[in-house]
Amino acid sequence: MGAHALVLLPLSDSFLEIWHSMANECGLVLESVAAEDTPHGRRALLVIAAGGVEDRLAAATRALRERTDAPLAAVGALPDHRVAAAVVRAGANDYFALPDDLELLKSWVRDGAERLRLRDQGRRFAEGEARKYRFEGILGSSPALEAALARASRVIPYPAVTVLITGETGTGKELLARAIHYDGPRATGPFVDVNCAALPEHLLESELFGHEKGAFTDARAAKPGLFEMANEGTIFLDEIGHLDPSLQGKLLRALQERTIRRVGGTRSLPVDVRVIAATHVDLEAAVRAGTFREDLFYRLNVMPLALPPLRERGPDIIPIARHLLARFAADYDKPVPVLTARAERQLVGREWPGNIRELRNVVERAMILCETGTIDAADLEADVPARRATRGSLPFPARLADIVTAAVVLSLEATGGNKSEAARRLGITRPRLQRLLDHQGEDGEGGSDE
Amino acid sequence: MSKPREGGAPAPSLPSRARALADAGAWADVSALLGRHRESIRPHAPTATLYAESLVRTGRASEARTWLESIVPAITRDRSSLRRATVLTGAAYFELGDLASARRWFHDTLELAREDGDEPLVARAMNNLGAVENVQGRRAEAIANYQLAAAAHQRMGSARGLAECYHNMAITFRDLSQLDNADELEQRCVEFARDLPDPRLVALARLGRAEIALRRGDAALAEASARRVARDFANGGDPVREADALRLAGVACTTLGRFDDARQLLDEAVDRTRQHGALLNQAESLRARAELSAAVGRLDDARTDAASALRLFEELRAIDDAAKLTRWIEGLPVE
Repeated sequence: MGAHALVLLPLSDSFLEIWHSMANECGLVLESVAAEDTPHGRRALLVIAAGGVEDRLAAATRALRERTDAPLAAVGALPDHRVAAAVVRAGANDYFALPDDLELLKSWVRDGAERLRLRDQGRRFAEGEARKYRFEGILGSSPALEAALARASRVIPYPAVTVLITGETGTGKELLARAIHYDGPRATGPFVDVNCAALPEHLLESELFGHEKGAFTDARAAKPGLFEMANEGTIFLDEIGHLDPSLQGKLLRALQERTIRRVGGTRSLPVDVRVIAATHVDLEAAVRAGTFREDLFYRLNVMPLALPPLRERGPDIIPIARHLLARFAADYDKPVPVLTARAERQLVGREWPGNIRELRNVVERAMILCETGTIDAADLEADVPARRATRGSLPFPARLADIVTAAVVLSLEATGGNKSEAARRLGITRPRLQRLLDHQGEDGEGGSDE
Repeated sequence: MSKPREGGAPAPSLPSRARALADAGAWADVSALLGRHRESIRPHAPTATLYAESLVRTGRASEARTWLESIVPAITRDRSSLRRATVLTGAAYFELGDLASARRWFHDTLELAREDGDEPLVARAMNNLGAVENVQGRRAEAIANYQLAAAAHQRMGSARGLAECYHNMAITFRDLSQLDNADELEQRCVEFARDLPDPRLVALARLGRAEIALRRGDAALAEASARRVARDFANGGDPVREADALRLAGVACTTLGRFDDARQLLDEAVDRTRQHGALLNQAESLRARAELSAAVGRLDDARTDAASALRLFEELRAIDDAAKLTRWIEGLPVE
């Protein structure tokens, strides 16, 4: 990738002394072109300099604009709004009258150089992510996984097809979504992920679809939502099963019409986005229970992909564990430890309710605590301790508030952060759960549910 | 007399010299250099804004706010300077603890940045708004802003922006006790920070993960991780964060019942933070040592450290921490 350029078309000898240092300060290479040349527009900022011959600026600007859409500034010595208006009408992005506007011109060049740099950065980032999330990089050869991956590979070339990924927590739904995005034709576009369970309904609507100025008390300015920000890319709607019914209708409209309407807005805005939704909830059961719209379910279920739980991928467990050990060894700058036969038997024999995420955490923990270069079964035994906390292994005597906190944490983790559901499982109200969270297990004297 | 043009050049080469110092990160020198020419740079928007930035970056938030309020109304044509001056005003208010004003200025920044297609500033303003909401305890609103900031960073392909944003979001999820989400985000932060590479950010995210491990009750993992992070910060020449990691290791040792180790770590954390004038870290270390003293029955020591911590929290206007610590002191058994 070559350097970015400040391309100068001089129509007179004025100002020639400034360009070299200006280009230098902004990290640009200075190039000069003649009026009949066609500059390479994708990697350049263009300046037409015409001190003393401003009457030629508009025609030169128009001629250049017909050959390139690169950012273009016209520079003269006359601080005259008629000259400015003429060159802007001819296609210049701005007009600067030197020497008074010298600093403004420098700002324009600096901003333009930054935009060119960002464009390169975006391209490099997408290439890096594509390497990280290669489709063939997903580990495992169990039939259940291979079936899901084969199905997924068929959808990759079709950027408008909606995908629904189902599977228990920790089975790698987001990893698969990223692989579909970065292996497909939208790879250079954004991948925008949103956890639908993390925000209350009123915030989530504005988050997804944006809002217009004045749409609600706090809406001081118009704001695009995540759908708009994902334009030409992919939006990953995680925990779609937690989407509030009122938002389900709006999402359905977005999927059907490929347009969105901001909160408080009247215009429909087109969006070119692939939607990948994911859930650990049984959506068909939710449809039967009336908590999830049937029409939305069918709209999402165009290409369903079911990721198997780790307990059904027995042959994959050890290769994945070894891969993770090698990765963490590099991360923590340690030699790769050896798994004993007992350790391997233990890994294969476990239920893994938290699936690959749990396996990763267990392996990483063993790696951090490992001092001998060997990992034995005992080193893998530590469970997620929030769960142990409720089984009485907090330091004794534990404060009641700590036990309550542990129970709240456990419930929130079990419900993917859904506070209403966590409160229901704990047999308390949502406001009381919130108070317990805010005050670390204490909700004030006699904290009642009322 | 005609009004000076905001784009006109001031004394020759002063802006270039100041810009070169800023590019080298010598913000105190920028502030000293431009401070000597305050009146001549006032009508010159880019340099006046650079001076404001030097004040914010050197902790002179009050001066920065006064200066910015005097220059912003005069910036009309130079949109680039106007955007920078606006976000700096928000930052100055944030540092001064006036969160309502900070919020207003960050919203204005967002609007300007959107109008001008300045995507890095859109992301930064979103991130700042998230920080304001988080400090105000409006966690869901904080997450909403961080998510939008992350999407903006993703659009630009800014690995650093994503790493910082994920770290901020992780802290908010941790405060919400959504520890799985928090841990996942810290891991993403580590991945991006390692690719940059930015060892300081890697260490910060790992410290966040150690804190999460502790909250999950896995004190052994928390201790090992925190000790490792302390070494990383020590190697990076960051004694304040090293002390913070030592504090966390000390808390983990208290939980594990290894009180002598805990005492040693917490004494070191208190000393270091005191030495470097890091008041919030000092307050947190004192509070941790008070909890240790209470656990081993040294109630007088517990009260003394807790009272010192409380004074610092109050001085820093950390209202929630002060209130919780007050309740904790009241709950100590009477001898």
